[in-house]
Amino acid sequence: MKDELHTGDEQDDVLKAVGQLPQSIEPQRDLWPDIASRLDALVPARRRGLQMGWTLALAAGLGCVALGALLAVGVMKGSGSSTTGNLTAQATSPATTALPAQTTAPASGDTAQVRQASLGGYAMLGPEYEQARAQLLIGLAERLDRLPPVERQKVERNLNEIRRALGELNAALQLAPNDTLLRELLLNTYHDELTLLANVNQIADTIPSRSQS
Amino acid sequence: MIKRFFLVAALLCASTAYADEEDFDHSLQADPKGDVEISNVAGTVNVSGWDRQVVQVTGSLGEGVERLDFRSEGKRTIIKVLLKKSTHWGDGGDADLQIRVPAASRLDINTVSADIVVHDVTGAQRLQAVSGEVTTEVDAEEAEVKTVSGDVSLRGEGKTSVLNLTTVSGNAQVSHVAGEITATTVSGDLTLSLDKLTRARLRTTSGDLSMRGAMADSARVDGETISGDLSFTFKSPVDAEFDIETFSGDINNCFGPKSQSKSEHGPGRELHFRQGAGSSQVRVNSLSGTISICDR
Repeated sequence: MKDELHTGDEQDDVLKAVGQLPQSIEPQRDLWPDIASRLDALVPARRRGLQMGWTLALAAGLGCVALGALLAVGVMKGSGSSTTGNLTAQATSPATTALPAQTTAPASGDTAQVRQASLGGYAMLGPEYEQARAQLLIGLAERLDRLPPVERQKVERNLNEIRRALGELNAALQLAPNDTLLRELLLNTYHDELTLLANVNQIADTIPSRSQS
Repeated sequence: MIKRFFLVAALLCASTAYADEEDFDHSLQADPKGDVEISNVAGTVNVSGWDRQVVQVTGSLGEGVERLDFRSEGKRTIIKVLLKKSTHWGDGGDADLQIRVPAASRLDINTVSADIVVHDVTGAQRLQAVSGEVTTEVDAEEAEVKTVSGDVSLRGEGKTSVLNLTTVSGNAQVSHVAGEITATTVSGDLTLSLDKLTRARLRTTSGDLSMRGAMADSARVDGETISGDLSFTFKSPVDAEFDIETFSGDINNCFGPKSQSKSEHGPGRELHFRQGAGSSQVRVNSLSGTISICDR
């Protein structure tokens, strides 16, 4: 207690002594190379930890996207077209579900490059999502012919627009893996892609057919 | 003599062309709150409500049209243009339909390139077009409008309703709609003028969005874009919490504090503040698009 009671002169002395301390103390040797090498050794482990964090943090979001995907496919199935039944059979075949890292799915006459759904390179969306997306893409490929040619091009152009956005988001997320805004935008954009596929499929399904007569 | 020959030939051609267009005028009894399902490929679908319990269809069917399927099944009335097998896109499959329905009918309309016009119908609406334009008025019932590239013009009566609007590349203009709105586009531009908004979910990928409107108490507005520009003008006095964030886009606001850089070296901006008591919530995110917030 006594130590805490200083007179004004004593405080001045202390302040004077503090003022005389050096602003910085140089280490006797350069410590940075050692620190850098230890950091390098730590990075893979930190990334693994980050990936686990992602998995947990994104579980709800991924679940929502996967659920949305399944619902979208469910809606298509519910539309009751015989084509849809065939699509399901095709899409659940191992050849379709086992998407490689970079899959080519048909989208009209051209082939559109469809990358596996990545989250900034640190995680991937689950197989349910990929399967739902594959089904919707196959459905789109079959239904696009029902649309007028100009509209087909517009659909493809806009799908590419979404994929360009996904590319930008993934690239940004690799640079800033902890940015929650980017993660949210990315998940929502994957959701947008599914919604677009489902909507176009659904609209194409309702196009009046030619008379059977 | 030659002149007379050409005159007769011209008249024959004219009469043949006329004969290719078939006029249609039929009516069926209908439930005052029944469902009316309409599908057409090309041409127009013009629907208006009236106070009779009758669905009336008049119009003309182009040469590529096989027939018009017009029938009722219980509370459902079906109006469906069936094309000939040989008809291709832009190949005479046009049908121009003027349809009168009981005012409280629920509408379900699907077209490809046919424009849809609806007025004086108070029941729920579900309108879909690929490239056709959609022009409609909504009352207090739910409305769902989807197009691929067709533009949408939708006018409300200021009554609380639920609106779900989706376009791929089509532009949309919405006015005097109150209540809940979900509007999504990839590359189309959305222009919304809203009354007494309770809930808004607005998303674009690269399209621009402009919203003007008044928020009800405890309203919630969520806006999001990747590269489009989002502009919000709220009716004064504004009473809301604002959470606005971009990864690399700008934030412009004419009230509240200035936006801050998210980090020392990054390009992103963020703006978090409360205006008034903060009863409503406004949350807007963008990757690279500019976000503007103002009041009037």
